[in-house]
Amino acid sequence: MKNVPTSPLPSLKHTSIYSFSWLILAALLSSCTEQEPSASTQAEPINIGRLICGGHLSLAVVENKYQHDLQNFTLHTVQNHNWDDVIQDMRSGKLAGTFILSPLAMQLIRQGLDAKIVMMADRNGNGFVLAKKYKSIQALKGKKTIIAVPHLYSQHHVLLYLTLQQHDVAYNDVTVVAMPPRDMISSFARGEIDGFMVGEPKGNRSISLNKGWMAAISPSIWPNHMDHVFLASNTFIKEHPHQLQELINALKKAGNFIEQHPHEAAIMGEAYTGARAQVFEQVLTTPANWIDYSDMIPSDTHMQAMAKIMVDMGLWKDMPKDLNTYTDTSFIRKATVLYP
Amino acid sequence: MPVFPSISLSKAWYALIFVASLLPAFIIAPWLADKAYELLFERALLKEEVYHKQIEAYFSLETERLLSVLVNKADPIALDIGSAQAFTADKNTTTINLLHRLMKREYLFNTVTLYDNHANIMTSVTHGEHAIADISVQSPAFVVSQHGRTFIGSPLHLADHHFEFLIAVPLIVQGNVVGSMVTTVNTLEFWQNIQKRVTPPEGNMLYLIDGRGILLAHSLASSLHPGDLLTDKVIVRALLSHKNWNSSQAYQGFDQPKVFGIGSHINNLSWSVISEVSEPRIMLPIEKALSYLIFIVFIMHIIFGLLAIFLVRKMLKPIHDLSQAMQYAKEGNYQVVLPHSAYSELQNLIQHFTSMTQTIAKRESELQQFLLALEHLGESILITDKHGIAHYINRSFKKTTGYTDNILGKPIQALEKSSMRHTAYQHLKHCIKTGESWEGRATSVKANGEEFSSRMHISPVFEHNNTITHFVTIIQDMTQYDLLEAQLLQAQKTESIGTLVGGIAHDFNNNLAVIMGNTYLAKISIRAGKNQDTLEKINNIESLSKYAAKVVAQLMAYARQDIIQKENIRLNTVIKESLLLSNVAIPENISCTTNIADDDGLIFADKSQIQQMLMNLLNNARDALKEATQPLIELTLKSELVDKDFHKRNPSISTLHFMRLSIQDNGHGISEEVLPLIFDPFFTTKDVGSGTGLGLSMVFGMVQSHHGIIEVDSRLGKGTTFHIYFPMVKNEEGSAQNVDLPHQQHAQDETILLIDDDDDVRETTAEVLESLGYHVIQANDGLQGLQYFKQHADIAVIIVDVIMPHMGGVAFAQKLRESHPDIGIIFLTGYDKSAILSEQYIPHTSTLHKPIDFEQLQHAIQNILSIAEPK
Repeated sequence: MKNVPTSPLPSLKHTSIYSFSWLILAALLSSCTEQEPSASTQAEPINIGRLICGGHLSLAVVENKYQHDLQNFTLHTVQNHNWDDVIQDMRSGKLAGTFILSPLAMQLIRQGLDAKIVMMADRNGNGFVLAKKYKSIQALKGKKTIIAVPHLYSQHHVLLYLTLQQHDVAYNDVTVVAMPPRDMISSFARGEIDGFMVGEPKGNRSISLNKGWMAAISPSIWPNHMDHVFLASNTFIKEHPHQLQELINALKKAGNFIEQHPHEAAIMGEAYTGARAQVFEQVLTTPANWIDYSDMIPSDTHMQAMAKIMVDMGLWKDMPKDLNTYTDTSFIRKATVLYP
Repeated sequence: MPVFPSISLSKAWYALIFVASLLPAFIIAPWLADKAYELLFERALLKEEVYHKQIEAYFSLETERLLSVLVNKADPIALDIGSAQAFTADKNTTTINLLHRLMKREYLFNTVTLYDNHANIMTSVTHGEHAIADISVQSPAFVVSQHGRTFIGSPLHLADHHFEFLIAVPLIVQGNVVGSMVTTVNTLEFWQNIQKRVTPPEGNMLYLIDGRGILLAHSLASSLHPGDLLTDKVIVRALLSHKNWNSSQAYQGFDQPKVFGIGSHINNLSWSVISEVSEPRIMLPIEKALSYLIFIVFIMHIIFGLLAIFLVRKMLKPIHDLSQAMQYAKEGNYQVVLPHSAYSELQNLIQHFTSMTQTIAKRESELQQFLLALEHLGESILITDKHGIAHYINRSFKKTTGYTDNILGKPIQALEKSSMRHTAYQHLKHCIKTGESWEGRATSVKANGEEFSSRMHISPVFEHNNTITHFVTIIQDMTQYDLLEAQLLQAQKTESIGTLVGGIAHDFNNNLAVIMGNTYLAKISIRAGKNQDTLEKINNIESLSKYAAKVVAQLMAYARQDIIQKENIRLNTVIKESLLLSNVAIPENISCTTNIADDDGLIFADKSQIQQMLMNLLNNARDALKEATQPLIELTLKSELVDKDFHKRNPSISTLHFMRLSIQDNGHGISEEVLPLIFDPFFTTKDVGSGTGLGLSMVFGMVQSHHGIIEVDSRLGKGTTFHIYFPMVKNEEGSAQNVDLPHQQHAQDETILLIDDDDDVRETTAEVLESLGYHVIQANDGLQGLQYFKQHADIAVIIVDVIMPHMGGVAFAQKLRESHPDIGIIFLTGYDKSAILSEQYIPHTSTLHKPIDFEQLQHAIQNILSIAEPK
């Protein structure tokens, strides 16, 4: 429990000197701020929802690094407890947009939520962790196992479905249970579940805690699959397109930064991803495509593919005819031009 | 190289201590303060950490206990139910009773609900009005338990507004799951139940959060509410990342402005416990402890500083004492006793110093003795550096020369002023340059300019590297010595005269007898008119008279009182002449042979001293032959080029060309014991009254005064040979004997003024001169001579006796020269001519000895007349 202090303990004298130095620095900064007041400090706050999830790292980078790019509004991120809370906040209008599971976003739109998917948060980025007693995915065949996913309308569920298919395991051999990712590792450790499909770095952290093994990572199940998406309310899209464009620009820029500076990004998003920096840095880099923050345009192809599998799984009874209205890619396309 | 001002060693030490104390003050002290702060901080939070550990343990134990309770009850309930479809409350009273007993025993269970395989509620028992969990077929609790597994859920905010967590266990009959038993546990009560078992530290604020960062429970004093989302707090974010929190940095707490937090992740539940302690509560004791620490360090600093100063003073005291002792030693006090030092190095230093001062004291005492000896030495001592700067003069030097200590530090000009022969001075300079010693005679100069005869010995003083640093000059005032030597010489002469007189009287008597005989015969011949016989007898008389006159002249020269009258002489001539005189002192029974080389080598010598040397040596040889059966004296004289061995034996010689005079006898010889003493004054082996013991001593002194060397070869019973080496000089002037006399001319009645106080001599001489054809005017002294000279203008030559009453010959000549510088003067003297005329040279003069050799007189007159113009 005891942690050695990460920074050297200053002596009282040094503390005084440092304090004095900081006071002077703070005074200088404050005087600078007074002379050049930031527009963002006076701008309207806009709430964007997120969960503790690696797919939401780009938002963390924007919050930490590119706040100054947001000239016309103040970004206020809201960390929700679970997806039900997110759904509730989106429906209530508390959130102008949120990072959300892509199937869940599609389900919400199909259920009538006045919102559109405006960009992908990331691609790939998920892992399948199995208990060590199962040496392979095929070993699940015929076993009455319980596999947890964050939500039944989640890309994780879709990926589980696909990997079971790929490994010739009947979908009915597995009992899928929806469980908040935060509970998965402890539940997995207590033996309540046999594995879980989850977004990184939860899966990798489980491995680092010596609980289970990584049976598959999502690029190997469905390369470049759509993971989390940014769902914006139509109100936000229509009434604050400039703010939305600024946000999308910053998020695209952040995605590029993550790809180019995985180490710094992992440190920056430590509190957002719920994992130690070195754990998530490994997800970002090894293999390189485990999670991908480039090409954030939610194309119709992506949408069609996801919808088709959801139909196959029985999550949807049929393909929606207006699937192309589920997305508005204009913002991310502009951002991609600016920050290719 | 720059010279820095010296500072006190004690001050340097104190400065070093001060500087050294700054090191811990500015480097070690902050580091220690950091470490102390760290330790104190850890100590302050230690109770919190222990508390957290206990909480973790009880969380695990309590959940396991609750799970066990449910599992234990599940089996009888499952048996009682059999199958879910058959369950009725009336029929399954056992189950109902079990559930009630369970609820009664375990107050933490708010509800216990039994579900069938379709998530339908079979029965439920609740505490109060607690709501049961909303379970569906998709609920993890149901799904997991339907798979025959237990399940512990995350806290949920149920309809009763309480945060509760679920525990689900399967109901299994014969391997088949017939239902699920799901309980709800009040999180707050569960937390309070654990808290009862662990005593929390005072003054902290406790918070229990779930895996989402939602506040589940808190201390009473908190303003927060269960259900608050705390993810905006750094500590919560860290805990959600499964990282414990134990930062030393204070942060904005949940309820207090500045807190230190301890956060622990409870692994089996993914919950976290946070303790927050206000910063002052942690920091005040730490700052107090640090203040004490600083005070203690300060006091220790003072104590150690004082201790260091004390030790330094104690350590430096021997050095101070040593310095004091050195000061005393510098002033000449070497008797200081230094105290013992406890430090071995210093004690060694003290011992070495004491030993050194004792040695110096001993050496200084010895040096003082030497200095006293030098100071009171009879000889004058002068010590100069190699540049001739005087460093030391002793008392005798001051007394002899009249110099005072004022000349110390100044260049000594005495040597430069000293008069000595050029060759000797060159030799002296050569010796000094080459580092050799020099010894010799010189005429030194006193401070008042007065000259005195001296003997000098100059020796160089060498350093270790063989370079000359100083010169030591020993000056011996030879004035008294020379006087004594002259007296001794005179005494020796007197002694010798006694011997001579007998022989001379014998010769003179013989001569007189022959003269008287011839006179008698001449008378007879005159009477008989035999002029030829008369002339023959008169010639005999004349010859005998000349011989007698020669002997008398030599005696006069021998007996004169001049000390040294050196001139270039031909030694063989002088020896031959001396032998004529000495032969009279050699008994006829002694065979005397001479081997005199026909060498015309010149030496710079006093003829009379040569004669005296020869006389003394012959006398010694004669005395040594008294008992000899065939006494023999052999005299050898020849020029000789000495060899290197000779030079080695006599390094002071200035030439290799010598005239060697050897006198050998075959007498009794000299024993080896006596040989070193023979030249000592008054040393004699002769009987009392037979010798003075001065003979050889005088010979030695004379040889030295002629820069000669005397060596002795003697074998007892075989005889003795004395070798005397006289340095030869270049033949710069022709021999007087080689000077051709002017051709004899007859007189032409030239007028001669003859001045002599002896009437017989004057008249006889005048008679002879007139017989030769000159006109002679006679005067009986110088005054009368001057008078006659004025009266007779035709005087061509003046013959004047040197010694006369009223006005002697020299005074007369000087007076006359004032008016007539060119007139020829012939001095007549019965004394040695050099003794009479050496002081002042008078041109156009010549000197003849009495008795007058008239042929020589005729030659002298003719010579004057031939070169002088008449008056």
